[in-house]
Amino acid sequence: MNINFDDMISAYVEGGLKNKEKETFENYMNNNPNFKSKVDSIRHNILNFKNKDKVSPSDNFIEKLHTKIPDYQDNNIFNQSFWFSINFKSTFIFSMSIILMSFFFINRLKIQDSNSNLTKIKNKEINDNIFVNDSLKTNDTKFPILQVKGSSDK
Amino acid sequence: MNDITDEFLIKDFQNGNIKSYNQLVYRYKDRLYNYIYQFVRDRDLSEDLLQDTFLKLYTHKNSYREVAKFSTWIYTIAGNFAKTELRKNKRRKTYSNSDLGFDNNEFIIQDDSANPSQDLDKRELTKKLNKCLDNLSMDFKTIIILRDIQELSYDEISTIVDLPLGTVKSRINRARLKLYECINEDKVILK
Repeated sequence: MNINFDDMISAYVEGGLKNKEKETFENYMNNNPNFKSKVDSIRHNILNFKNKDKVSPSDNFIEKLHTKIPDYQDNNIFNQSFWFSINFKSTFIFSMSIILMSFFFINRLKIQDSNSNLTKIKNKEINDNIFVNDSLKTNDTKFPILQVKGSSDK
Repeated sequence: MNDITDEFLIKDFQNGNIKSYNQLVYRYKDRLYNYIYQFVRDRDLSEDLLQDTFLKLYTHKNSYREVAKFSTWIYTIAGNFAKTELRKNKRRKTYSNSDLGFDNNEFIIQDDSANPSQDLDKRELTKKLNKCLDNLSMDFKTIIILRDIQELSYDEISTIVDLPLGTVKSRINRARLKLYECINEDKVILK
């Protein structure tokens, strides 16, 4: 059986070979110093990669990231840019228009109401004037209204 | 907070909880920064690409489906950014004089030892490994970074590179052999 031992190196180094395979592999390795050196070297390289110095992003990376997120600031009402953001502007304009419309509507109702009151008062005043004028015509100071009513019926 | 899975955090973030997003950023920033750095070898650029990765996580949060692990999804995003940048850089480098072989900073190290990878001191070996890693094809390089530097499982790597498990295993073995051959070449040019 022709076995390619090169194909088995990673599995051997990572402990992934079955007992029988491992035994065959180790027999071959122990009889071939060059191959052993190759396996050791590959194992060493893997370890070297694992122990490589790790690099880290800057300390203020998260803060910098937050400034780049388009609407992250909207979630923070205390952030200054919130007041200039598109979402805030549209919400503000919408609320203001609702308030203005309600104000206009209430005012309109009030004007209508006061107009009808004015008409009532005006009518009353007109009536009163008629009565007073008629009473003056009759020259009766004792019962002016009755006199007027009687005189107008005539 | 560490008991909470990444998958729970991304679900919570999809439901609008910004704190879960921050938690994911905190968990992955160092790992992904290292991953990106292995491709581009530039700290500032790595940070920019890491920022792009997390911005994409923020803007495309709903693209994530729970069928895959969050880690494989975010590694795929970061890897795509890094590889795109690397390709752009290579195109730019094609027109750069320093890469036409006239760079005075390059020198040749003569290797006389019988087993050079064991005899070289750690710093020099790391330098050689990095150089050889950069010379590998993108497929081999990606797989070595994911397995030997990021220490991800074969299953995770298989999902990230979108290859069957068997192919991933044989490709890692071939990549390691290629690294070995590169390190044991008689002349290694170091920058």
